[in-house]
Amino acid sequence: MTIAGTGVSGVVDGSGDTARFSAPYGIVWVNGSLIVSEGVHVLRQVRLKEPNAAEGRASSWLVQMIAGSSGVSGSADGSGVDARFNTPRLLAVDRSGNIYVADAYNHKIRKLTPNSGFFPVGLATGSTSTEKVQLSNAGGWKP
Amino acid sequence: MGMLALLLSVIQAVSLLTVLGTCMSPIIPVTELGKIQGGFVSTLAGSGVAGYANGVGTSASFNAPFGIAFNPVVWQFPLTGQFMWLIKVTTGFAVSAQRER
Repeated sequence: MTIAGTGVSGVVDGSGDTARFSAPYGIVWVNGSLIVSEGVHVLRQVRLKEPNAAEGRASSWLVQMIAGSSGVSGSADGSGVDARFNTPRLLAVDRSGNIYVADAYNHKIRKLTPNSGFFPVGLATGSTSTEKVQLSNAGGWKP
Repeated sequence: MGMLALLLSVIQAVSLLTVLGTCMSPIIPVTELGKIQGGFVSTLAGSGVAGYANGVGTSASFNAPFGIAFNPVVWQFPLTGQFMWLIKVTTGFAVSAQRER
């Protein structure tokens, strides 16, 4: 089954049945979502829209950019879309949910430290001025 | 209850979907639930210059690393290039390399 991507090349976020990928390369499963590296210098997340959504339907999934800028290479560290990669390849994840990136043509190993909104599963439990949404696992979620 | 029902109706009417967090948190738009807030990208290792130098953190050099894997003891990075190298990044981000046979 296809959970995301139309088969047409592109970088389009949105519902799995309409989202487009350009050159997906690496993929890891992190706390209930998939993180995908793209050859166009970005990392994207694929997750179920709702905890109980039908996993077999592409329309149940949501694709969103999480780091980097599509088509823009660079090596800047920073938050989310301010960061730059140069052809990120395979990914790894540690026990805390940090994601490691083989940033091929920057010749670097990069680390993505997710914030509390990174794992968009379930309920809002509070927030701070800098993190609008703090999430926790919802009942029934199947990581 | 009447006021609550009225309030809910108003909220629905303007599609202003909100939830109230706990502990005196501000109102959070429901539309932002599940929206990725980002995360911080940092450089764990690699000077940015292609090479095979061992070292700690950004004093080490990689040459177009493609693969990466994690285990509780070390990170291992098979590298591409003229030769295949196995790179280990241990606690403290010390990088050591050995040539694969």
